[in-house]
Amino acid sequence: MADRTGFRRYWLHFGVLLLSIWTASVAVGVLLAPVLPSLPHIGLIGLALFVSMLMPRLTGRPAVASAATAAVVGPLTTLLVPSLGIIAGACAGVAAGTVTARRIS
Amino acid sequence: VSTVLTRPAVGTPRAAPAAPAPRAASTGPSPTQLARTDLLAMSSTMIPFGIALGVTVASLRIGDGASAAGAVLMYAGAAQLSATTMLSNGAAFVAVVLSGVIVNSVCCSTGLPWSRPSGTSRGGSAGSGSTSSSTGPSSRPWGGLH
Repeated sequence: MADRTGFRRYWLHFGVLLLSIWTASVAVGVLLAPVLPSLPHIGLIGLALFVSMLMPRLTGRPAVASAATAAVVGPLTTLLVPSLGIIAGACAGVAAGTVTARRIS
Repeated sequence: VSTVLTRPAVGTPRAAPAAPAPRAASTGPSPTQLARTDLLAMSSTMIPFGIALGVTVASLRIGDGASAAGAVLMYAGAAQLSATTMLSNGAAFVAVVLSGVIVNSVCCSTGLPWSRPSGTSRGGSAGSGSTSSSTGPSSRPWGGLH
C-alpha cells in the first residue's frame, strides 16, 4: 500500500514539475525570440535539435542505414508532398533499419 | 549530471523490542524528494531544449498563444517542434497528427533494438530527447522512466 502511495506521489510531483519547467522553458524561448537578431540560420535550430538527438543513436549499421534512408526519402517526399515528408521518412527509415538488422543477424 | 540514487535501507539490524527500529521506508528520501532530484538531473538538458524550441516556434510566426498551448497540450519537445512547423506550413491536420505520433512514438525512436542509444537496455522517453536521460529514476522501487 505504501509502495502504491509512493508511486502516485512520485509521478504526480514529477509530472507537475516537469510540465511547469517545460512550459516555462518554452515561454522563455518565445519571449527571447524577438530580442535575438534576425539571423537566417536561426531557422536551423530545429534541425540542430533533431540532429543532436539522432547522433547518440547511430551506434550500428542498422541505425546508420535507417538514418541515411530517412535523410534521403524524407526531403525527396517533402518536395513532392510537403505534408508527408516526416511520415515517409520515418517509414522508410524503419524499413531500412529492420532489413539491415535481419541481414546482419 | 548524475543522480545519487538512494534506496531505503534493507537489512538494517533489528533493535531491541523496547525501542523498535524505524520503518525502512522512512529512512530513505521521500517520493517527493526523489522526484525533485530526478527532475534536477533532467533539467540541464530540458531547459536549453525548451528555450531553443521556443525561439524556433516563435520564429515560425504561428503565434505566441499557439506556442504556449503546444507546450502544455503536446508536452513533448520533438513532436511539438515538428507539429508546429507543419502547421505553420499549412499541412493537413491528419498529417500533422500522424507526424507527431511518429516522432513521439516509442517504436520509432527507441523501441527497436537497433535504435537504442549505447549503454541502455530500454529506450528513453519517446522522441522528446529532453526526458531521455540515462540517469532517470529507472532504479526506483516503483519503476521509472522508460
